[in-house]
Amino acid sequence: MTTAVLFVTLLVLMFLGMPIAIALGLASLLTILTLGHDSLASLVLKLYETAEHFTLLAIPFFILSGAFMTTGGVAKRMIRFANACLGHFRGGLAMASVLACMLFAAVSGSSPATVVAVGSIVIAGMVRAGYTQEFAAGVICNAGTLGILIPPSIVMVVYAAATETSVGKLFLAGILPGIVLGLMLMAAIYVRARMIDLPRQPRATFREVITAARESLWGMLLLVIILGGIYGGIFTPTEAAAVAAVYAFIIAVFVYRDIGMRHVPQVLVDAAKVTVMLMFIVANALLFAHVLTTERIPQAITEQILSMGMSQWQFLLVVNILLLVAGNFMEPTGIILILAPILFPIATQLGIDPVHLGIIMVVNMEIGMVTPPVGLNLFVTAGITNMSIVQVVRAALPWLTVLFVFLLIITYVPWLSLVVPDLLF
Amino acid sequence: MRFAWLRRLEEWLIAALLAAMTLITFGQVVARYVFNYSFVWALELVTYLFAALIFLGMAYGVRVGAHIGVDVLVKALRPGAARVVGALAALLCVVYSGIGLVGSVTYIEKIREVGILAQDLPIEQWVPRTVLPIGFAILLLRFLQILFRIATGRQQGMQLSDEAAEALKLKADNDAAADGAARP
Repeated sequence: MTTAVLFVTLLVLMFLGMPIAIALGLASLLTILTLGHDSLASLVLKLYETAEHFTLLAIPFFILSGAFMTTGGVAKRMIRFANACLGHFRGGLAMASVLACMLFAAVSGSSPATVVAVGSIVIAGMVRAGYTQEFAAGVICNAGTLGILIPPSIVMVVYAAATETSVGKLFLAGILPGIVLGLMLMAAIYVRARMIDLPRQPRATFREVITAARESLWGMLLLVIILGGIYGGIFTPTEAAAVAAVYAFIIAVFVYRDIGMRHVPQVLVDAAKVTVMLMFIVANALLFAHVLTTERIPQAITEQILSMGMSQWQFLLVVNILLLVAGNFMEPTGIILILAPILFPIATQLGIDPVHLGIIMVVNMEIGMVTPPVGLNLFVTAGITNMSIVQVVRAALPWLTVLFVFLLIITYVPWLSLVVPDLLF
Repeated sequence: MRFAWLRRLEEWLIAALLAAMTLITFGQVVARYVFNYSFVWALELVTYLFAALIFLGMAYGVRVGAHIGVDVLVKALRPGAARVVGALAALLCVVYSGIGLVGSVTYIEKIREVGILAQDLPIEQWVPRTVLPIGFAILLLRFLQILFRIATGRQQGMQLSDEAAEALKLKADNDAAADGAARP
């Protein structure tokens, strides 16, 4: 009964057009104040506890480091390197833009940010080289989703906080799947390029490749610092994020000199704005999750699922369908905080590794970002290309099938997600 | 514009909070490895700054339209109906902020009575937590303002921006910044 009231209230409030954060918070407050026993003061304390969550503290730092890295220069240099490596293949520029997305994903924890940083440069470049705009936009829209799969990833931090899984393990687990998805997209591009005869660039000399690599090295070192620091036990993931933010600041201002000191306050304001928006959702989603747990909803669902005798593969199929549907209507952070506490105990009972479940959830969120009506990557791509949303949806569709095949592989081949963390931890 | 300085203050405050959190956490790492020393109070202070950023910043987010929402349904409505729905949404946001304000005032009064001390810093816990009632009070004002504007026909709906527009704006800002930097 309470569950129904809670979810129906949430849906009604959301579709009235109020901020998602407030829809989550108000649905929880109304439900618990009319049907529950908690005092109002204790609910406010729940909201406040968001700030005391040490893992979540990594989010503002990763956002800040991403904001410094988005300052054009880093993406530009990575794109130059990618083009030098892959440009001479048929369809090489498109493959290089996938590689550039992979590289930029290693400094950014967000998918729309990756689409903007890489897409705003490469789409125009591909069109100039003779590709159609649909082709270029479709590739970038999908390749940009790598932003949350290749570490650092804000969505993974949120999952780690919701399930008390290790951030370091999740980050390591994302690397191999991220490379596989990148290669799958490149392979699809290559096949398509053979069919429609796409242009190729002159082969870059070895010296050019080396120069481009050296120039983009500073950006790529960020991931080495983060993963090396966490894995080597030098600092916690949260401290790693703060170090990354300071490092990104130094690279942008003093090494690449793309921005001056006087632009730093504006970067801070922008990053703080994104942080506030995201953390306001997180705080209210945690309140929502608290209502779920006090009503023992996860336990009830777990018992029901287990009594149905569902096997592992059946459960994972249901998980995927549920997440894909949810991903169409809600923002990833909210989905993870609400659904992870429900799915996690069942998965544990069925012997599914928490890290594997985390990667499955992340890949589903990626697909949610390229499917309407709430696909952030679609909106961003439309924004940078001046195409309509409908055009972008149509352009992204063929490449979306690659993401779906990848989701199936990730879901039923746990080895792919677990081999790297198992090897190192 | 009236209160322009107040608006700037909000902006500067959240930027300064984020910068302080980052520097203290970074400083903690440096202190531990370089000076072999760690500040016990650092984490607690960062927590307080983080809370201030979230709860003082939420109203700022409303003002600049940073909070994302689902507007597919509202966009499909006729202007008249959209205005009614917008007013209802704003009213419910007022309700949310009101509940938040009452709840946080009660909460602060309670812990002030008990007088619990902070763990590592020499202050009582209620002091940093007053960001809760302050934040909810500003949030309430912002939503009352929006409700008033919709009622008087000066605004159609909630006017949320989506994250896409935000990301693009961030990019535009940075391009402008990069252009600015390129010039001597």
